[in-house]
Amino acid sequence: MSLPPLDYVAPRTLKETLKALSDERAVPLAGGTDLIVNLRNSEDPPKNLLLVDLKKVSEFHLIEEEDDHLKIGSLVTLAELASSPLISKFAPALALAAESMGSIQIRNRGTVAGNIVNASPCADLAPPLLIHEASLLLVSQSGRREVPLSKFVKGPYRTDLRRGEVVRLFSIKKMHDGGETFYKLGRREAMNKARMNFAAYISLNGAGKIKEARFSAGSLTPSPMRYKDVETFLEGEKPDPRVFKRAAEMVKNKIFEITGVRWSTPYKAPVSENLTLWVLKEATRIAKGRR
Amino acid sequence: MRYISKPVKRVDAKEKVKGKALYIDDIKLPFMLYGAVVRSPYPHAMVTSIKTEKALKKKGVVTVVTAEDIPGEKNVGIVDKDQPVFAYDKVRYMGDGIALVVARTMEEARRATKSVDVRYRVLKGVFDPEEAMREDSPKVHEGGNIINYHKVRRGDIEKGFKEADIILERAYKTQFVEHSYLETEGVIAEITENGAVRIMGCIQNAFTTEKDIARVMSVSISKVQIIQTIMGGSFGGKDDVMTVMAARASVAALKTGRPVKIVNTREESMLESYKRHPYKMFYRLGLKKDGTICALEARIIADGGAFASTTPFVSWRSNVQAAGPYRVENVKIDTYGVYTNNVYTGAMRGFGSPQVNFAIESLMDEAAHELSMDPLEFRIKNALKDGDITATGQKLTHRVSLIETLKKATSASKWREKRFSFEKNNRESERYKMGIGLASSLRGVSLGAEGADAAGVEIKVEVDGSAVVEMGLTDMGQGIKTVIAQIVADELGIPIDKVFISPYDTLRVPDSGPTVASRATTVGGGAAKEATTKIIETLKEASKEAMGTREVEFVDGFFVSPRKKMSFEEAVNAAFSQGKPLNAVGWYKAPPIVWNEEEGKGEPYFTYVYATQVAEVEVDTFTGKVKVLKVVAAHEVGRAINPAMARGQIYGGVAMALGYSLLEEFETREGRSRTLNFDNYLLPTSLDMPEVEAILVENPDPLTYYGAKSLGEPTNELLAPAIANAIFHATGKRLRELPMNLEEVYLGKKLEKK
Repeated sequence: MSLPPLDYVAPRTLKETLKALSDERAVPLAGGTDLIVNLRNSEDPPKNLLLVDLKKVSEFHLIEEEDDHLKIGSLVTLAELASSPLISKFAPALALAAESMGSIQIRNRGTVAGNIVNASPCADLAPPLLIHEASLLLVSQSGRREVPLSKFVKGPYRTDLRRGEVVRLFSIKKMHDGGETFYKLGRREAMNKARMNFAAYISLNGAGKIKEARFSAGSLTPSPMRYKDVETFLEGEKPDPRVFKRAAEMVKNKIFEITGVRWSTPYKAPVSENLTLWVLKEATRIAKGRR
Repeated sequence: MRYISKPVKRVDAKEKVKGKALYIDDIKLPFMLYGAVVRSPYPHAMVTSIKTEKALKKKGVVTVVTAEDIPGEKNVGIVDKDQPVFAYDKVRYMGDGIALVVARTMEEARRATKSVDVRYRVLKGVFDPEEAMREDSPKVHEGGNIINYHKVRRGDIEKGFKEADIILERAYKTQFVEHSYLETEGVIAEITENGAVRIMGCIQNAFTTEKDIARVMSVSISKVQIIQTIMGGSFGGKDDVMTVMAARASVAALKTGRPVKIVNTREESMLESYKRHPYKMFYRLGLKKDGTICALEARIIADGGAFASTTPFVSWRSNVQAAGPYRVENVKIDTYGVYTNNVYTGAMRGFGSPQVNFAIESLMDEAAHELSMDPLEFRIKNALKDGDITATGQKLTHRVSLIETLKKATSASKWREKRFSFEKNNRESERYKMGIGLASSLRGVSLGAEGADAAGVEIKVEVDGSAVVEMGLTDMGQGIKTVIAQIVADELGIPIDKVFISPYDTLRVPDSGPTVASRATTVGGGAAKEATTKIIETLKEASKEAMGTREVEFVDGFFVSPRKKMSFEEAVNAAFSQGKPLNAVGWYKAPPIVWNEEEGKGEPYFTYVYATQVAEVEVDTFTGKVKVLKVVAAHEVGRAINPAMARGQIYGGVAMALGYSLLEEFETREGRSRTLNFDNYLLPTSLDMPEVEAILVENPDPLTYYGAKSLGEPTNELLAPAIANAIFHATGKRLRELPMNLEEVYLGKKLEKK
């Protein structure tokens, strides 16, 4: 089906954008890889939509260093994320995640904010953003607020984004002492919805023990999440297979505590455990290489 | 020969690459209306009433067409006339169409479909073919749920199993698969000023469609004109589904007096179009300790879905090829096609062979394993050779190239070396395990006992020496236009750019039957050769008369007498001035075959092709993910008229079979599906493709022109068992169900969705 009749504006400044978004018919348009497809497929599309195209606002496209943080504009595309030297240096797992998504065409179009605001349980950028303690700067005509990603996503396809608000940027912690990685399991080599996706970060202290551990996973629970119990357990331990095995078991148990047993459990339980083990080992291997 | 056996460029490449080729979706006629189909919300229900008043009031709607508007027969079908153009008494699957809303725009037509008020009395459905075979199950059609039964009998099966040292009993299962042609189905129908029905569309088998249209529209076949538009892929898929669509559009054109276009969305295409049959196959194999196969028994059940379609033919090919390319003295095969309320199933590249090959070639590996033999040695020991007798009792009189393909494929893939080195690797590697597996086949060329197997090609030579070819065979991307152009150019001794293959129009081209069964090169090539022979004969006569000699030979494009010679153009000019006819129809009829359906014996095909594919895989034992690293495919083709396109067939067939092996599944539960677009129905991407090494084995067949045989389908029938066997080599897990997805590879068995 073609799109329903709608109005379209493409503001050039943040101020104009916020004014446009204050219209109650307004829907923000980023890459459109979800929004436009859903509008076309909708049996009963909303009438009198006002699409507010965010692409022309230059400050939505920045990637900048600020002290111990990186600022990533909401409209930065997946392709830009995958090829940014700053991202590769301070958040390589995020670059890997962006690179794993869709196809070249989708990566040229899809944006960071789009991936997060759509709030799919399998959003590939969520696990690396979570380990980097990402927060979103949300702005509207009535003000601005900063919300951590872990609180922003409320459930499958539900977020804390309010009417009239737009994501201005993501702020993530730079991490470069340790090693980090991202792993996505899909059925094929491209154009995948993740069956599971993981991000892990490990740094080691002088004694070779785990100084800091961060671990997150997506597609396995209603929303992607960090496993803080597991991180606490790992910190101070020696990075050996026995410890990682125990951590992987904890992750698996946590998942099935949340979701209960489903048809897919006989597969997802052992495989999530295997892959947790693998990403922890891989992050450790990279961390060792850095020292 | 300047063109035959050379990698000639496709004659239709340029217009396709430049975007100038017109597909049905590009074509718009003056005053044209658009039709959208009202489909059933239930897989099995009686239609109790159809009310159209509300829909007729919707914006842009011109009319709503139902079965009541059909002037002639209400049903169509290739074998049985069991498929309604518009469901009038009951619906038998979710894709059944009840009415066609005709409106000024496609959008208006689609929106108004929701306003057609159809009432149903829901019936209990049947979705499992084995259940459907039981007496007390719901009946999809009045005559019962068995569409067909075929058998093969050879020797004494009881005696065979008594002689066996080992008996293996195994069950294999395959899935529904969509053709996934890039272009969805589309037609435009109109009634011409002289009352004929003119249809344009991507119709694979226009001569099948025209006969059903004549019945539905109650006109003579001569008043049905089908103009085939350029096909955006078909793979066997644009056959009877197109007849139904063309019939709906024709009835609407009659009712409105205007051209009516119907084009399916991808979702409609997936919902409505027939699929490759899912099979359940139960095999019993008797083996002697020395590795001889002494008995083979199989019970095969094909889910035909709601309509017979080509199920009787598809399952017949499965039936006669179910024992694989091996010498077996004692054979008993029973094959059933069964109605269910699932999506109907029909022709798809392979036509009943991908399923049975998955079973028999997996079973051969299981047998070799049981005997502690190398799978290659075991196959060579039992392989059919020159002069051997097949499972149906046919003595093979052509060169049997099976062992040659086995040897060439395994040598190119370094079989022995890799069997050993992969096993060594697997003892050391924790996560990734490597495996190499193979599969072989024999395949009957062309239609066999399905029906008359003949084709015609008409050539008209113009006064400037160029030639127009009218051919009743479809180029759906496989390249038959190029192959015929090569043959005509070579036989007439003219440059290929002087040969023009005319667009396909049933008013002009000879009825050559369906373009199926990988037959076009064999039968069309034969017909083209016959036609050129007639033209050359006429030109010899003309040049004799012009040169005043008694003897003329046609050598290197010249008509040569002992003293003089004439060029092709000069001879053509002479013929024209002498008033001689320079158009000729060549006709090719395949050699006879013999099939005794009662006894399950005979010579079902006049010749066969043979092939072996070897697959190398890497299995991620942490996740069940299979990466196919390399495929070596050795195919005996008789003779490759165009080796570049022949290799292309192999690459394409392997790509398509990769999806069948690992990813693709049209999922249905109680007749309903959620895999209606390519977000959920997963095709392999270019990044999933392994390196493919194509090996053409050429042993020209004595019974065909140029010795050419088949290739399109054989390329798509072997990869699944080769991969299954490679996975077994890598992991020791034997997978007996397709597709071999993450869950099955990891767990060793299918994980049922609940």
